[in-house]
Amino acid sequence: MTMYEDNAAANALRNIGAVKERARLKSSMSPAWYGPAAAATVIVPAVGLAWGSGRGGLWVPVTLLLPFVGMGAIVALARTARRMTGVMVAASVSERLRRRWIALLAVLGAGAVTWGLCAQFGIRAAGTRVTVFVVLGIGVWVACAVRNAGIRQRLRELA
Amino acid sequence: MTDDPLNPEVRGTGPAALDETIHHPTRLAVIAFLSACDEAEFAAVRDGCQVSDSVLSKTASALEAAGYLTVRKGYVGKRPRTWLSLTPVGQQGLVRHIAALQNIVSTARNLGATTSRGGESA
Repeated sequence: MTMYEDNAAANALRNIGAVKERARLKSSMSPAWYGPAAAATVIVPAVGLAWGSGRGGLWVPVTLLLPFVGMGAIVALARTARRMTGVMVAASVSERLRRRWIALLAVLGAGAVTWGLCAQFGIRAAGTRVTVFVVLGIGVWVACAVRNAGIRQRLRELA
Repeated sequence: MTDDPLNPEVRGTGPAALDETIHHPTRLAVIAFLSACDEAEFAAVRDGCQVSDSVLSKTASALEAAGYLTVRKGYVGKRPRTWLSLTPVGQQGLVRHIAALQNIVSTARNLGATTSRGGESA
């Protein structure tokens, strides 16, 4: 066995690792529109719910349906974003959540702090709900931007 | 050679030979990229493997002919899209190829260690 063969094999193994890592990173990336769209999907139903509460007529069923529509929209958005990355990896919801638990905890923590502050300042329930969901929406956006920036950085290092 | 614990024949796993179909770096890169996902779009594979459209197209055709990957054509909206995915044959080929490469590296490392020990004792 020559030194050349040994080096070539080691290089090939390194390249395989790098290419696999690139595929994994690309599959974790979300499109640029996903952050703002996810934020809007979190915020809009909360605002609609706050605006519709206390109103009668058509708003009663609409108010009841809004949370479900919002959740459905979030699931559809996530699915579309995954398809648009161009790299499909089958992973369960629990697996995805486990990979993003730090961001998830940070966003939920920001929401909880906001809720505490609203309660402290005596803001009424509808206002608190809107404020909390605005913070959650912006948190999701920021989390997406931070994750994408990290992935881009890693991809640059691998290039 | 028969005392070599890194020799696959000694370990009873059978010899791992390099797979000629994916020996070429571009083919190996495409197969490795696809092994990390279920399905990937043509552009994503092109960017991930850092090759041109034409090179990837030829590589994908050759690998498809060898039964290592499947090519699926479809539309996203009105835009045509090509999706590539690894077949079980391709997956097995990659596993065998990686085993062969690891075998080369570890055998060389072992030989190097033996040579240096021999040099010290001499």
